[in-house]
Amino acid sequence: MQTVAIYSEPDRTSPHVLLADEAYCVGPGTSSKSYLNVIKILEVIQKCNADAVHPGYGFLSENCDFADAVQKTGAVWIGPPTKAITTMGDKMAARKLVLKTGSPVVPGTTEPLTSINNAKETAKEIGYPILIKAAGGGGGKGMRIIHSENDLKNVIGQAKSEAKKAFADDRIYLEKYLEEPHHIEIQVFADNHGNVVSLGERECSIQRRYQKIIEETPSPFIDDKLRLKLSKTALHITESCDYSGAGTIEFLVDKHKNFYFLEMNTRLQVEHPITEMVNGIDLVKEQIRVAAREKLSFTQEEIIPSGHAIECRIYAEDGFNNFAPSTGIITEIMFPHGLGVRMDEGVRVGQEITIYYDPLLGKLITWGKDRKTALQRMIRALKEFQIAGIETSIPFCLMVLQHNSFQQGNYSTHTLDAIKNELSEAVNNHKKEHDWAARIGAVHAHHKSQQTIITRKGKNKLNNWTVSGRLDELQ
Amino acid sequence: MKFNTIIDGQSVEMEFSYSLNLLSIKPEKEMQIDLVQLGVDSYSLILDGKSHHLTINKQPEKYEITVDHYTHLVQVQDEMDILLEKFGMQSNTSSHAGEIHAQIPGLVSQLFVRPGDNVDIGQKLLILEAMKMENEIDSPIAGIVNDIHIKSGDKVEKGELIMDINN
Repeated sequence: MQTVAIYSEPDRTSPHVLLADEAYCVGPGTSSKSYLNVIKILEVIQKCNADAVHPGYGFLSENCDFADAVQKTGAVWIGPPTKAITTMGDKMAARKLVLKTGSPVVPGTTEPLTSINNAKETAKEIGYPILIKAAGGGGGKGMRIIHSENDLKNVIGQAKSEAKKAFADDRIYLEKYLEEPHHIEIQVFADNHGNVVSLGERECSIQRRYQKIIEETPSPFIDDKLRLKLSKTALHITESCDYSGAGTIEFLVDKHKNFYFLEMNTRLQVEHPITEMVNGIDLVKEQIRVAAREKLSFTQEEIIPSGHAIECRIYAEDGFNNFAPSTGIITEIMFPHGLGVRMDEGVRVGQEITIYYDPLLGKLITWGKDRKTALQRMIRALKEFQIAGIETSIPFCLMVLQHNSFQQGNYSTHTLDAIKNELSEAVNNHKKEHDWAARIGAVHAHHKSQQTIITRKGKNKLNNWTVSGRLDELQ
Repeated sequence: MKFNTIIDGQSVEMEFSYSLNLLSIKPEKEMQIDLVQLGVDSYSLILDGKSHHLTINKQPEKYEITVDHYTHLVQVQDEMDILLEKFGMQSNTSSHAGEIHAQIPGLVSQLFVRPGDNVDIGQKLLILEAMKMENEIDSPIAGIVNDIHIKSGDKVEKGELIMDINN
């Protein structure tokens, strides 16, 4: 199969461009002028005579107008039918549909809030604390937690304006705020021949700013009974929206193991590799098969997950400094290797990490016959993994994985916030030899910077190392 | 050669051989140093047989050193600096609190103040947008905005001076 990449000007040397058979620039760095520039992208689709378009997992991957436009060019859309994207993309429409199937949804409103009084009544019914959410999209934008009726008025105004700015849609709704919820999602796959299969769950409770950092499968929190229930519910929801291709049904599971439908993602997820590892199935290949209107290459009975897989997202950010983004040129990378270690990266040495895009640099995935093996492998691999030139989340992931709560598989979406300070303390509590190494490194750098100034004056053929070596011998 | 190194306020006096491959620590300890450059800012250090991966970045007045994923900020004083300090002189002047530097690289998406404005502690000064996140920069002091070195829509680098506030 021949591949065509599109890229923005700063991404000229990104791996996806270098690996593709053809590549076309779609505009400057700002994503609204390049990766979101539908007209330009459609031009490229026609110019290269593309048979099919894979939208990836960001930007336009859940945009139904784009999916529609692609199909009008005659190219195949590697994704679900436009109608399914539309229904599931509108959070409130999705809630309504799922309620109709009889599946549990987080208690809350199915209509947008109309007035403060309306909000007060509903909030009283479902009980505080409550969560205010935007109907138009996710990512934490327009989201607020409210603990009492007094806070309601102020917060609704803020949430509306934030939602309007982010999604050009100021509709907001209420949801019950759950106790120590787990974010657990089910990977589903459907073809155009009536087959719908569940590929098991992913536990995604380690999050920052409502974005996932570490995912694993199977979840250490749920048992086989709940696992089966979640899968069945996910299949039911998938069937109800006439789906095809890869999809993910996200659930919240509270500490009493009650589960609720959260949302459906009508695309491949960033964390899909862990599902691939335990099932031995290439999900992207399967997406292409389904788009070619072939049957799924597996049946539900054939899905027997084996072992345990963990993914760490490697972001360009400093986890110990409020996840501040880091930019710069990558000067060196040493990738981890070995049995059960997989690296999916989107960067290379010499590449500049700019402020324009999501800070995801790559994903490190490990597999083991059980959780302990996968976890030990991940810690080993993270320690081997070196990236110079920018800050990355590697040290932060290392600290999280070595913390008791992760080691014992006893964590919820609230855990990271709760242990943040402990992690910072742990990172300061490093070995004495690291302290010496840092001091020595600094002295070398300092000494070298002084020397460069001296050597520029004379054209001395002896380099500084020979001179100082001789001085040592004289001592 | 003598150097003082400071990490988190902890100052350590270090005596090196001329080629910097031997470190003597009082009273009678010696450490063998083998430091080899791998790339622009990355190094391999074998210290008394223990292997470490270092990245070294120069920052204003200090060095940011990452050792096996642990980052340290190290200040280095050579013999001249130590001497100057003894006489109560400092070779470097530090910046004052009213200098607003960009803590992260980003795009100035909104600017809320103008030169001459009075600002309070914690007042919103600007929004820096980076990697799809909005980051609010607040005033660390109360005072009057003196100079603004950037305008809305500008791209700023980490550490760049954004504005001066006088108190």
